[in-house]
Amino acid sequence: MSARDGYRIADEPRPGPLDAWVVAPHWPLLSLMLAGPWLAWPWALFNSWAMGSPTKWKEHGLVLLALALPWPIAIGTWEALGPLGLSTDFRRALVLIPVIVVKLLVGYFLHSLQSGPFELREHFGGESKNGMMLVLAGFFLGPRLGIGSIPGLGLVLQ
Amino acid sequence: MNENHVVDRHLEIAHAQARAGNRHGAIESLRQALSIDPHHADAHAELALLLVGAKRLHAAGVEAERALASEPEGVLPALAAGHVALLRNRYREAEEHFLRLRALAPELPAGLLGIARLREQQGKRDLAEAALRDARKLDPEDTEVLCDLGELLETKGQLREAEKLARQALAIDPEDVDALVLLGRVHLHAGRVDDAKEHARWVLSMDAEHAGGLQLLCACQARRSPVLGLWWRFVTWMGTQGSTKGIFILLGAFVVYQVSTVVLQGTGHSGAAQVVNLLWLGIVVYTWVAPAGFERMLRKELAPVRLRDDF
Repeated sequence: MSARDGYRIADEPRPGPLDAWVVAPHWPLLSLMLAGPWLAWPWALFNSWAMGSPTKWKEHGLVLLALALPWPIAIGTWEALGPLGLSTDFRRALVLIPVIVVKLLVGYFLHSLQSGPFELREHFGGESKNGMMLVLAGFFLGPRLGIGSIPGLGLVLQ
Repeated sequence: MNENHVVDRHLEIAHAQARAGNRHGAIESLRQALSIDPHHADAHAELALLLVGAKRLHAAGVEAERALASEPEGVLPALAAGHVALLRNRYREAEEHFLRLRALAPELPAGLLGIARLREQQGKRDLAEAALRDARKLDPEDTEVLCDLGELLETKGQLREAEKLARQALAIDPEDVDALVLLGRVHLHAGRVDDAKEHARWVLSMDAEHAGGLQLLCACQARRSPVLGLWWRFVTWMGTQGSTKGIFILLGAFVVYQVSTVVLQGTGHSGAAQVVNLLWLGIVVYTWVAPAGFERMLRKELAPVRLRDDF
């Protein structure tokens, strides 16, 4: 009896129509580092649906956090650094650090959540696409999309 | 043959497969048992324990819950729920399940064994040792207890007693992979790397995915190459921290790097910032190169180890 027609264990992959487009979770993480959240977040969520991740709603919540937090963190850090009398450039560089950290934190958690179901999927013979071309496309084409200059969104999506 | 007999037969097969280190086969056998009787508490519980071994936490949790729902006062469901809670680092919940298990089956060492693992995970080694010694009194021939106690003593440097326990377990079951790993660890601790490696290869020839066997082999290889060994020690240490803490450690290092370069640059120490940048670059390159190198070294070592086709 195969896994498909017998008792189903909760974390076993349930291939859907998007199954052919699954990538290893490290590709969206790499795209976060080389292209930015504008590519990484939708890609990670797409991957979650494609592989039928059992934690996909948790992953959606994480992405929502990554979209909601950058501005409050940036404003909070900017204000906190005010009394130190630093130059604007120095202050701006410091403000960006916690914003980057939050994005990386979410990226790593998404990677960690998707790794389990992905490994299991591979165990059952599921194949995956190579995400390198999309990462490279994001890296080279991203700056031309001008996401950084969209008012209010640059900090969140770049 | 009626349905109950068929289910029992699948459970027996699953036991035999699990004992032989064939976790995948055992899971399949339990799946077949549950396809016939989806409310079989012991089948759910055993499946949960196998999934704990495979670190499939989500599924293990679901199976343990189903086992408890089917038989709230069952021995195996309590054992499974305890180990799932332990894997989730929910110490109080794990303790409750193991204590209930002790009350349900005081003659079995499983409850004390669970408590010992809990104490060890909490870093309370002395309490873990006491629980294991009590478990040994309950059943002096339980190889799991002998191996756990031996491992604990080995980490404390009590090699002679650890070796004695490993040999005692092997006298009971000469193919006990955990006992072979323990003996290998004792050899490695005593500096006999070749003997340790031989034991690791022996274990992996029986169970190619045995985590302890692979760890032992990696530890042996790490002794051979100090540069790649550093990577192994780092990975092992990170592994003990858990994935969430691991992510925070990595990002903590990144924050230290970022803040130090920004502060150094902002205070006019560009040269020092450059040094920090180079240092970070070196770490990044090392973390790319070292795992590949270590894996190549390991693959070379594992090349003769193959799972039998009919396994």
